[in-house]
Amino acid sequence: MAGLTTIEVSKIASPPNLRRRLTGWWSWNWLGILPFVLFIIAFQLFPALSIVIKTFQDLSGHFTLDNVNSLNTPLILGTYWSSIKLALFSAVGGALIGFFLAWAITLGHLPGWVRSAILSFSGVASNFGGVPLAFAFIATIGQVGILTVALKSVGIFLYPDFKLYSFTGLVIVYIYFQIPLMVLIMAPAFEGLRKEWQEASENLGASRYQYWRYVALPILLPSIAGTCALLFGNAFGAQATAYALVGGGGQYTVITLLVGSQFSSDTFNNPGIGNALAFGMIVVMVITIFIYSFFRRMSGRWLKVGGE
Amino acid sequence: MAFLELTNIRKEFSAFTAVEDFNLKVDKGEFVSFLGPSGCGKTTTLRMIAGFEKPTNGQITIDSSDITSVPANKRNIGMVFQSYALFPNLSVANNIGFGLKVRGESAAVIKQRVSEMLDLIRMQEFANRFPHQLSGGQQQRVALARAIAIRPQVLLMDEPLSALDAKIRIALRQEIRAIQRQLGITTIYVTHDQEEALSISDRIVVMSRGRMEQIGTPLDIYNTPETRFVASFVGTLNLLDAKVVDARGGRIKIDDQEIEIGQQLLGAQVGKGVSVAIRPEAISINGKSGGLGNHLNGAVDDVSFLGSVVRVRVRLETQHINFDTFNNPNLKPPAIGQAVSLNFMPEACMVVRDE
Amino acid sequence: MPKRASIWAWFWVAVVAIYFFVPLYATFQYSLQAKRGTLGFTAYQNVLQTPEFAKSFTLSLQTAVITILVSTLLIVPTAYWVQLKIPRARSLIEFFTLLPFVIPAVVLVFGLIRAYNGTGLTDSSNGIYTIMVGAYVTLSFPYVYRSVDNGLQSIKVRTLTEAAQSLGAGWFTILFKVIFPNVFVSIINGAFITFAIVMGEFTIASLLSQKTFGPYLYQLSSSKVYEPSALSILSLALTWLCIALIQLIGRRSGQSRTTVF
Repeated sequence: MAGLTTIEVSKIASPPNLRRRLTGWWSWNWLGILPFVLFIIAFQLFPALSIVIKTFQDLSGHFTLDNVNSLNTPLILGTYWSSIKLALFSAVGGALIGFFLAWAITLGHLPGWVRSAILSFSGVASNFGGVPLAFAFIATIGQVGILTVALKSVGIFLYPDFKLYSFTGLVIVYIYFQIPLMVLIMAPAFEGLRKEWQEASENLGASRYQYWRYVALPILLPSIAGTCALLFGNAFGAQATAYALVGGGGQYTVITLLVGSQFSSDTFNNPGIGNALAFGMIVVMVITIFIYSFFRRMSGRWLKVGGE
Repeated sequence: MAFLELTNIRKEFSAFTAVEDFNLKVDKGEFVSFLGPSGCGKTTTLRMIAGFEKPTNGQITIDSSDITSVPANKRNIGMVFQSYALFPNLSVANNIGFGLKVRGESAAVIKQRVSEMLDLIRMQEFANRFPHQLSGGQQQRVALARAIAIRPQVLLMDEPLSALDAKIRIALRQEIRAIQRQLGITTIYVTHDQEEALSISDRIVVMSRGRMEQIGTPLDIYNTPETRFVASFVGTLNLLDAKVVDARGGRIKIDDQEIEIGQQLLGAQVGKGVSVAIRPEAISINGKSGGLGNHLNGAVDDVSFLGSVVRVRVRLETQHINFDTFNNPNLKPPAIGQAVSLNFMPEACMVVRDE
Repeated sequence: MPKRASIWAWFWVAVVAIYFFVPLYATFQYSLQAKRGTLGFTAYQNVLQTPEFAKSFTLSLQTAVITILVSTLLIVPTAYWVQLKIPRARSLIEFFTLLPFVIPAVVLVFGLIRAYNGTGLTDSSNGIYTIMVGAYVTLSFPYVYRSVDNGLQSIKVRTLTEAAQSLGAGWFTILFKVIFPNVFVSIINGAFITFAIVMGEFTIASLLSQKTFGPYLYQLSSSKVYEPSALSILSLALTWLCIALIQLIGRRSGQSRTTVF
């Protein structure tokens, strides 16, 4: 490498304490990641920031809270709430089912091929969303879906009480990509449960129930909670599936569709409101990510224990 | 009646037999080690006592009651694992108290017992710490306390120190032995480290390939190994090929040099090959000629400085002998190539059975 | 300890398998029903022969390839540099790669359009296409970075570099003769995932009025009944192919396979 940089020189020259404080803050090496950082700024941070800033600006550029205040209508608040409810239900539903499936393929003593098959499928299915997924469910439980027809033939009429283009319908569809995500994250977590913990608890006299209640579930809880947060964010931000199912109008809508509709027509005749809507979404997502990283850090700390 | 008895224990897996013909009687309060290389079956046997594996044949009794079919969580046996296996979500105090908690003991009883245990392992200030905040040695002491807290009939330890640094290992094994003596708990200790087994056990069971090679006190195992395996596994050993010269008189020939061994070679004809083991510390260089005992002549091949001991390798015609001499700063070790005469008593030779 | 499978384990696998399988089967069945009364591949033939399909598919393909190239060329040197020189930056980079999760696609497009409104990027169709590609590249960052980062970790990149340097290699040689070949599988991994994402992407493309595969698929449903199902099956098969290839390549070369997260 070429000769000493300015930092290295100052390292030699200055007294130990000062040296330690100067060291490591800046080195020309940081420039190496500049292209990457610029890209991120251009295509993520700048747009996000501009939304945040423009939310608090009126048409002439002055600071205002009007945009945020105009969110305070029953329609808009109701839509936020629908989205949150949808995300919550599909996250919890997906998490529960995914939890048991992940348990089944890791600790359920199933043949090896079942585990690989489920994990591979989950890898695909977690990306299977949007329009094809909507179509798949329309073909299944839509008005003339094959399941609808089959049930009709044995006397069970899904319609008109059940509608695919509704809250319940969306939850059922969203769970399709929530479960695989849960499995992909929880399967390694289950495998991280060391066999010795189970043996140690057994050795100390605990029953299986006591082991799960006092040791295994508490250990898994951060992963479960963190993944729930991830699933929530995943569903909250989803647009394609909702668009394909309920995007044509009608009473039920979610916040992503509302933001999307700001493109074609300023539905509210108020350009600033689009920003505020998007800003609201960012706020929800930021909170979600904080919850997620909090739990991820916690589980990371605990699972570093042991003598191997 | 012994306190812990294993009778005719055999464990078969689908592909191979892990343990067979295992018979052991352990007295109350005794400290017995299972010693052997990886795969010899020592851990499997331990796990059968704990209840994590079921013997294919055989019986295990503790205090005269047969526990062979008793489930693992009802045996009241404490176990310390190689990887400590502390519950990461529980504090040190809650880890130690876990066994009492699942038995439904009251909070007051648990608190009292935990405090006793913390005193025993001298970690009172660590009660509220979590495993990930402890060093390896500290975690192992907590694991020990956790196993003892339930007042087990038998304490099992599966290579508890192998994951630790050498210095900590030595200190901790003394501590484990002291605690065990103080409490008088019958203990089975599995290890592959022969120095560890020799230094802290009342008796050692040396195992190889699923079978018991020898049971005895550390002194017996070291000084009178019964099989070639035990002789070569425990301590350093010179193993030499020799031919019988005189069976009744106990004379054999190593590389054309004849020596006397302290025993008769029953049933061996002249010319038959035997293996002879001699400990390096039993050999010395003869300064004066005509000393008592056997002499073997050779040339120095290599000198290794091992700290307190200097190990010299001497070449005979086709074989090597290592001998040890204490490090003496005033005495120079022999030079490489120097011709030497090795001296040792006939009793120091052990004829070993081949496998 | 009996190692029999728990009945509950089979139960859960069965229940979820049914839930996963039925919609796929339904789609497939639908796609075969184009010709009245019989089951056949008419729908597939129809859709594959439509010129719009070829156009949109090709556009998506092209977009995917560009995205993969840009993303790889940005990520690999960055990941390498971080591991080598500034390991402290790793958590910062990981945070950056998680941004796409914090900013959902809808919000991102909204922000991009509003942010670049005056700059001329939003006036030309090439400009909008660039914005879309840029968005896709950042969308792929979490997967590509994690894949490459894992790959670099497992080959102890620092030691390799120092060994190469001590043998006299320059930066170019190191990057292309030592690093790239060893993280090749990770790159392929990331590439396939990116491919699957871009091919199937709908939100950004439709909001930016780009005629890629995703919006085309949606459009089809307003005019045809069975063709959309056929296309969905094809799109699903394509994704599955990508994942299968990832696993195949990963297994053959013995390099570590990374999961999605």
